Amino acid sequence: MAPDVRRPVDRWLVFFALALVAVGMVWIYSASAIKASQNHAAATAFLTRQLLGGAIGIACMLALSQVDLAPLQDHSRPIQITYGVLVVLLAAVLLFGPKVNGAHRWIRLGAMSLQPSELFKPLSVLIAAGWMVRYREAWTSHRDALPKLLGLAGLMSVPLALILREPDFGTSFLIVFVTLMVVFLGGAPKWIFAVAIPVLGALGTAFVVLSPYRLARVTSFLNPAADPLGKGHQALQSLVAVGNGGFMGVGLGGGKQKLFFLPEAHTDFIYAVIAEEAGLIGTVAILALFIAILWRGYRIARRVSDTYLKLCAMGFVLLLVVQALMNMSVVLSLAPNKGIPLPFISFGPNSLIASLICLGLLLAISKEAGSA
Amino acid sequence: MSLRFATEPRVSRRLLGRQDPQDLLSQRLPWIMGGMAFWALLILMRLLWLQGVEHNRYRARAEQQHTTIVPIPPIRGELRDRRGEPLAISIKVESLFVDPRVFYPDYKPGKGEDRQWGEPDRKAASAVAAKLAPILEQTRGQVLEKLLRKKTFVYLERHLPPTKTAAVRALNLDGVEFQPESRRFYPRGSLAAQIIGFTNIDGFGQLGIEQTYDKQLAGVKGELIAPKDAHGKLLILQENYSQVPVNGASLQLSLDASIQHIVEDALEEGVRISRPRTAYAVVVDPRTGEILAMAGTPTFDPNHILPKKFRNRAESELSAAEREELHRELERQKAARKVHPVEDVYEPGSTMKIFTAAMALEERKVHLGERIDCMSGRWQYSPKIPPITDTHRHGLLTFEEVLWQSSNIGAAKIGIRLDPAAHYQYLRKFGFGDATGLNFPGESSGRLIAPDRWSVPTQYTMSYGYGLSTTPLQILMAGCALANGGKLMQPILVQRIYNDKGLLLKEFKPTVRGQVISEETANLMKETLKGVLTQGTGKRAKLDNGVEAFGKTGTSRKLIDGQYDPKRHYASFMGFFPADKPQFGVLVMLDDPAGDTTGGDVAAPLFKRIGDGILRFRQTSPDPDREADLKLSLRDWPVSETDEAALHVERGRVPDLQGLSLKAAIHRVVLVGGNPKVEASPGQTATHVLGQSPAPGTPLEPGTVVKIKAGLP
Repeated sequence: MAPDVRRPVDRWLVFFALALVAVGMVWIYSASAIKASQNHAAATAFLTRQLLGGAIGIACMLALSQVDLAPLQDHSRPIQITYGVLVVLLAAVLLFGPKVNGAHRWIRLGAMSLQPSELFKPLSVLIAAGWMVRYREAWTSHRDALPKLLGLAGLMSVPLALILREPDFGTSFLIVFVTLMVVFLGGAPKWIFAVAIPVLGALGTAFVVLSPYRLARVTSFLNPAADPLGKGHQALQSLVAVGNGGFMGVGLGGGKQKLFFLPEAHTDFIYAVIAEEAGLIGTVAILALFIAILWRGYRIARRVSDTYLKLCAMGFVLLLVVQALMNMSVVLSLAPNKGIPLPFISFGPNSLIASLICLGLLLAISKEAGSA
Repeated sequence: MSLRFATEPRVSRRLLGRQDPQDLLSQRLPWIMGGMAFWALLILMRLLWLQGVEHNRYRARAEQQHTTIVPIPPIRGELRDRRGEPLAISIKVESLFVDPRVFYPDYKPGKGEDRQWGEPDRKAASAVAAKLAPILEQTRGQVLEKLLRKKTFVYLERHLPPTKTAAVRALNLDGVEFQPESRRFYPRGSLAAQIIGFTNIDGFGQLGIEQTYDKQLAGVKGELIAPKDAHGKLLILQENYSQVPVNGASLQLSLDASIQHIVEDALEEGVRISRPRTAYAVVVDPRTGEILAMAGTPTFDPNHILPKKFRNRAESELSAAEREELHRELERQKAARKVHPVEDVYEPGSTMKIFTAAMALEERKVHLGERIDCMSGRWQYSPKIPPITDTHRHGLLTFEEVLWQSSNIGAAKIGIRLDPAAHYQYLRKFGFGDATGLNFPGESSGRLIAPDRWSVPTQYTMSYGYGLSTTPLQILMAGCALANGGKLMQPILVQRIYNDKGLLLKEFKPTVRGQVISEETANLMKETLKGVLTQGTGKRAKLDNGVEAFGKTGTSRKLIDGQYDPKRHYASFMGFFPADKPQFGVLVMLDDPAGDTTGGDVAAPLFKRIGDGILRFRQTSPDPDREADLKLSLRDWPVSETDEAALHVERGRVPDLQGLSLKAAIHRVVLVGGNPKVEASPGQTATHVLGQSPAPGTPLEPGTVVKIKAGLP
């Protein structure tokens, strides 16, 4: 890749992502204004924090979009350092992080707070893609494939275990899911999945069953009507919000479900608020924007010639879109509540920054994409 | 998108050697993309299902959980006297209530048996109770009991003073809410209390005008469709009424607060001197039938129906002594609430003689100056019947002298000249035996038996006022017919009804019930009855400054256990002035005054006192007949003055009331937590504030009395 053939970044991708961020800002205000006022803060308290996150995130995105990722496959030092720092931070979260809603997820840094698990998401893609490319010879050999994959699993398991410990099941699940997709795309033999998926499934099930709180989430998902005022409440209220929106929605700011009927109106269930206020038009538009991002990412992946960059591009775009579809599935009661935000839209400056970092890295790859 | 995958060129697979990861990637990409597309499609279908097909079901569910209907109480209408002085006004206050469901974490809604309360969160409730108890001046236990009552709505305290509502608001407690209500305030306290009546804490009229016109005064409750959040907290962002509240209508009464004051003063004096069981008086304008004043003793202050220590407490909590006190208080109030002039029936006695005389004159059975033998005070007109006696032994008396000296025998002799049927018809035409049409709760119609059931002495005794019973108001209205050229008027207490915007809804015009006797006869009676004050039994009723009046004393024995008690009387005086064109008809009645006294001894001086007072008031008042136009004063209220009041008061300090309308002043005092007390001198129309005590800006303890001196601006 000679620098002179580098192209401008994928402007469509920037446009789609920033459109989602803009939509997010609007609905964060709509969904959080009353909550903020009730907590005796300014109505714009959440919006300001998100705007700050957006500014930092866009700065990161612009900076990272100028980076050439290709050398990382040969020089893994930066990745190792970042990995080390994040593992230390994740450990610090467990040790020093304040407990919010029964979980330690943040480190307070003055007025801001840092959520290392979010930052680990883009790194996990870089690690998995690098690993798959570095040991590409091993995947066709029956002898070497399993140890190498177990090596990757071992590498990933340390931060994942720390994230699970927070506990943050949703993020762990997402990282495992996307990593598996990258491993699949990276050429791992299919029989590996025949083993890995049941094993991970069993682990996940055990994890769920052993924790009453997660078990309750799953059982209430399977039978929400059994206890509409208790655990099934969130799922049902989310459906009421979506259903009440109808085709056109009740109008921006007119939704009522955000008035504490939805438990996490401005974060995990913001899609339900949009569904109520903007109706089918809004929900489909947001779905379409994520699909458009998937399409641009796929286009980039097809057009870059370097395998590592191809894997990275797919990894980043899948990280964003899988998370989005998972969030929507939860809102629409297609999946049990895992507690993951909608990328670009949900409130959470760390989540927004992480998403924009993914986007920035994707944009960096898009510069390498030829017209082929 | 999946179409694009289909058009991907198939990457050739190497049959030998290792697969190129690039090729494998391109081969596996469509699987991932296809999976993602399938997932997205699933979400799209789900969205179409929820937002399209199931939309109506969820919308109904959302509407049900998002909105609640908030009752908006209307403001009760005002009562004003004929000059526009406020007699009863309503001030917006707030009541505190709790929704105890917030303290039942396991509460499950449902109907009847399905509704489950579960175990209460006692800790949270105790914490709230501890915070509220000192503000509400109730014990923690009392508050806690209310907080945990298994109901969805429990009042913690009604009609909180604004300082307390502010304190409770500052606590920002979950489940503790305010309900706007209107509190009745009677600026002149006990003035005309029995006529005006009062409202109970729920705003229902309990007596007098408040009861009779309750429906008009109350207005129509509004209903606001309000969004509520998941905690049940209301979020009223816009006024979305399903039923717009209609404030109550205001009534302009015919009462004149100044005259009422004069009358009540006189009665108080009369009670002090003669110690009757009760004393009462009515002042009517004979020309229109408008009741200008109506008062009786004892009276009560409708602002303080129950002493404070009995409020908010169940009877079971009281000690034996307190219970005794409460019962005595209730008994006393029951007596004080009786509106004697319309509720009491009595045998009118001597007063009746003027009607007997008028009928005989009209029927030309007697003529002025005719001499009638009064049998030296004893007339055994039938052997088996007790004789008619007079208190003084009169011989021959002229027709006029019979009335002046109030001879029973003379009156009976005049009466029996009438044909019984005609006699009865005249009595009916004077209004006896029928309700007056006043439309007042508890009004009696008296008793008048038909001639076919008369016994031998009936016509004799009826001629001097026994054997029939009337209410004092009936007698006065009949007397007013004589003063009014023979026209019997219907008594009026409410002149006009306005809505809250000042629009006149209804006007009660003077109504003639009938021409009872000719104007000529009426004028003859007027002339004749002047003599009662100049040379008869009512000399003590003679007014100052030579103002001519006419009238008649009345002293009737009380019927106690079927026997006439010679020592116990109804002593009354009915008089009219000025004599040539009477504007005021006054009836003063003392029930059982101390000592063997007559109407001329005890009631006539009170008539004089009232009459002189009224005349003095009319001389000093710049425009005594002016009637207020309520249109403007009602229209301004409540919007402008309420808002202004809220802006201009500082909590904890006495507000500056100078020059305000009485209503605005009262409102401001209530807003700062004071207890307004209006003072006005008799014969003054209290519409505006002239002075106040304590001075503006003085620190104010909640509940302190703020005296407002009121009068004409």
